[in-house]
Amino acid sequence: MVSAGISGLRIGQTCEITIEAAEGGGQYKSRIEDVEGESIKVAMPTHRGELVVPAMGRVMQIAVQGSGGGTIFIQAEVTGRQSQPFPVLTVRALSASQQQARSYFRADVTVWPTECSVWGESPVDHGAGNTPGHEGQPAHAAEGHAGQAAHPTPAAHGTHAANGAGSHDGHAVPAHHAFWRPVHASLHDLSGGGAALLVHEHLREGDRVKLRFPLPHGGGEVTTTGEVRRSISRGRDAQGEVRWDVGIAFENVKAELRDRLVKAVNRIQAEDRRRQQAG
Amino acid sequence: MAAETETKPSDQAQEGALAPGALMFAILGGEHPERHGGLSVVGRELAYTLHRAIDHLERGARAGQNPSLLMRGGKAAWLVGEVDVAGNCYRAALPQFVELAEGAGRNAGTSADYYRLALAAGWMAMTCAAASEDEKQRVADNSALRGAIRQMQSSVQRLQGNTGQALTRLALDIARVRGGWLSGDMDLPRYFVQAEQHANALDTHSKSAFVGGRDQLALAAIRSVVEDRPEQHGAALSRFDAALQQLAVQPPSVTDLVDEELLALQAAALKRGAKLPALKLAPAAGAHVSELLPLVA
Repeated sequence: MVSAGISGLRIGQTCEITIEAAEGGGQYKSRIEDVEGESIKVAMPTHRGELVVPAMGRVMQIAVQGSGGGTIFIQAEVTGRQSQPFPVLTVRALSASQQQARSYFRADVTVWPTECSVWGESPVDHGAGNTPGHEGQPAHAAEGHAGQAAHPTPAAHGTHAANGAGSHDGHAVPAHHAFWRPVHASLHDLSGGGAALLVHEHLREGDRVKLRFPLPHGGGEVTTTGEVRRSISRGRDAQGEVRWDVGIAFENVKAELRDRLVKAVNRIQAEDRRRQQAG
Repeated sequence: MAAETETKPSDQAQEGALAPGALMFAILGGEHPERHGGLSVVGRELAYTLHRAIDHLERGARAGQNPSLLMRGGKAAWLVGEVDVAGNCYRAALPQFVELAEGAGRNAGTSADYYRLALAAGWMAMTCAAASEDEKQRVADNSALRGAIRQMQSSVQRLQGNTGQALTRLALDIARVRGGWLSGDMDLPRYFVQAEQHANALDTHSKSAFVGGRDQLALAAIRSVVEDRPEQHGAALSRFDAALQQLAVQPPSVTDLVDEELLALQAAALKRGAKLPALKLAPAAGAHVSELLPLVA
């Protein structure tokens, strides 16, 4: 069950309904007519001019383009049907997920960065990143600020940060404590817009990360900053170290750097193909 | 030849008037030295990094591999003039980078980059030993550096045969030049020729990734230094320094403040009597010790 309303849906927005049924189903164009919490009204789908009226309780999938370019997938069951004043289907959302639109190809590659830093305070314990049995929570999380996004924005507030003046915008790590803190990480996939890291401590969504790493298959070293968009625990490795799968979206990437990243991804793909052909 | 390019820290560090060991005592004596209220952004990072790197060194094999932390610890220690600590960090980083070059670097085509870092760490370890006037350690470090160079030189051909990417092959050519320069290899002129031939043969696509990049400028700087024309050293090294500064972000981290390869080139140029402009990323040992003075005040 979806606990809150589904964000990203707009009334009047076109959508695609997929009905799977033993007696036959299909994909139909439709439109969002109303949204109220979990309840969604969509235009009754049609097929060759005929209304398609699914049975009550039938589960269907509704796919809608999100405002950010991604696609929202909603699993829903039919809870009502009406024909007046116009044919509308009422469904109750059971679950919703979003698939991000990707602007760049992504390539799997393992690179050990020369530097991976997170902008923030020191963790509670120095050995946190590598010590088995320690989650490496930042101090501010332990001090009751968990859930706040760490938005130090060193690029935007660089002067404040550099001066140690502090920039308390309600989300910021206090500048008098923040610095580029080294974290132990490896890079596992790369695209022109971001990267995925395996990190040995917990980074939170919204954290700012600095990366310096050699581009795969030549092309030199690059430095970039990014924001953590996804952070999922992957448990512990054989040595008992915590592992977090962290997705980074690069920020303020100049065209030249973007070009180098995209070319590096092209080289990874070309090299992978060559190796496959070579057996 | 490797020993010929060593440098000694400037007197700047000695002028700090710090009691021996006072700084490291302040860093290691407290649980969170980086939380000292008087520290700057870089100061906090220096204190934290040194604490972490030394902890990593003390844990030895149990700590696992973390060459980037060791390299960063080496930079931090160099910047605050703790050359013994810097030497220990760089010394420990060398074999870990070689392992990366021969392991993960093969698949990702980054072996040349990791070998560059390994050689830089080896050269810095030797330089730190010389600065500490520990001749026995310096000789051992020189030997370790030469061992890494030999291993690299014997791997380059195999690694080049293992890739279809012209840029990877070129990066390995330049790694060979670096090794040849640091070890005083008689074949260095041949390595230069090979690297330059491969650079000239790059297609437009690859050339745009190479021109103006670290490898191209390092190649030019090494050539300038070995050709013994001191009047040209300044320009080549300044170009290299400027390109490296472009990699920095704001506010900078410790990694943005020092480049070991540039330090080695600067040392070699000074040895040949070159008059160099100030190179921002080749600071003397102890150049940033003031960032940590609040800890001992």
